Amino acid sequence: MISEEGEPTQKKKTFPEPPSSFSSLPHEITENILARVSRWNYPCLSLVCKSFRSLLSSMEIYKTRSQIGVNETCVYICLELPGQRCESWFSPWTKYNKKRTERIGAKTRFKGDSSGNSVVPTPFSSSHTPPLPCDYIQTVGSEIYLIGGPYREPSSSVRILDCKSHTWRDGPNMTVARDSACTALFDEKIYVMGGCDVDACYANLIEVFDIKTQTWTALPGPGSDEDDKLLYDYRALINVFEGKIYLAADEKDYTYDPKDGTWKLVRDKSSSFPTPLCIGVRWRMCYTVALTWGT
Amino acid sequence: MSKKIIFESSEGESFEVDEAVALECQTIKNMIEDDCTDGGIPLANVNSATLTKVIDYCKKHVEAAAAAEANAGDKDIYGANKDIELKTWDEEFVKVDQPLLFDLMLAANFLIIPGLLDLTCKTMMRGKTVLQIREIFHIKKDYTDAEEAEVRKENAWAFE
Repeated sequence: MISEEGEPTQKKKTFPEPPSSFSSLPHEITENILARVSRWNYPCLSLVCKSFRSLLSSMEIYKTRSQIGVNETCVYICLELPGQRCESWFSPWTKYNKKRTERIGAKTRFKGDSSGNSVVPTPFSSSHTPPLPCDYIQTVGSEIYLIGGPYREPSSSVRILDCKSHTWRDGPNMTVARDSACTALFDEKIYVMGGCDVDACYANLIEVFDIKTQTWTALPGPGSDEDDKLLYDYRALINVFEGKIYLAADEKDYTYDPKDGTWKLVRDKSSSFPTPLCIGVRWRMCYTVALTWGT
Repeated sequence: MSKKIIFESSEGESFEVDEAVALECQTIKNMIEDDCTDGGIPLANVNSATLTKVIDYCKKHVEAAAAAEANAGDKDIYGANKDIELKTWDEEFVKVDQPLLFDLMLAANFLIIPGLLDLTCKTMMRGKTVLQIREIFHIKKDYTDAEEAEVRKENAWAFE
């Protein structure tokens, strides 16, 4: 076993040191290296030189990350702060070389914990941020979808936050306006339910967004009119479990099998689920989905 | 008796390693598969000090993989212990000076050792200021002050 200590210094005496410089490296090696570094280092690295900046702000770097399987899980937090017109988005990240207490953002102060983690406002905390429809968020790859409007503000709009570039864009509108709709993601499809006028939008109580084709399609409900009306209830929820879509309305639970397109009643007179409080969403920094999206 | 592979560093020094250890390097693996490793493998762009470290890394990871496999039968619900030990070892392993770290990274890139490449890249960039990175890697600042201020402004949240 060779001792690790002393090895480098020993070497230095004997051999001339090769220049450790990025400028001597081929472009693809630099890219390969930077792709492995946490994206939270990118702002700092962009300042190093122009070539770093152009590399890091290109979408190429995300292709490379995807190819070499670099995954980063980031947590985004959306807060309604008193005195601010729009919701503010934050993302916790690790700041090195900083003192523990520091001022972050214009109005908000957070203290980093002992591990050096801080909560910082993300650069898209601006007046362009759409109102947050609370639990009607869906994360797809590196994108966050805000579907419909918040409580009592129905909207058919779909806003998409691209977490690579931290920019918002509009997605295709839903066929009906919804508020506080319930969403679930399964097999590159987003299932959206309820939150719309039950009589006017009867046939569209549930609709499905195909991420690949970027289209909305109505999905017929579980069965009788009576049952379908339950879906309008704000307490109704959908979720995905073991390859099936679970629908929990006030009194009945159903499953939907996307493979054969069938609904099944699984529980009658069930007690309603507690409404989940969702302020944070997670997404993975793997760009396979985003890339599929782009092509 | 396992097969041995001989590496030759840029200084012409020979390093004999088990084939299993050499197989950690994708580049070498391909050479072994193509059966062109007889008479040693000259690594003209890897010096002895770097090669020593690379071999240490590969050895440790081969041992760790073997140990993990041996223990796979009696599953422990806290099975992550081994990983933690290896992670700690990795952290210690990269506590070297910057030039060596840079060489290790290049060697990992050349020999295709994804784990080592990942480790060195992350370590090299972690916790360094812009000035430190420029200094360490001999990168010339090619921004004008105004341009730099502009880039800083774009990502103001990261510098506050």
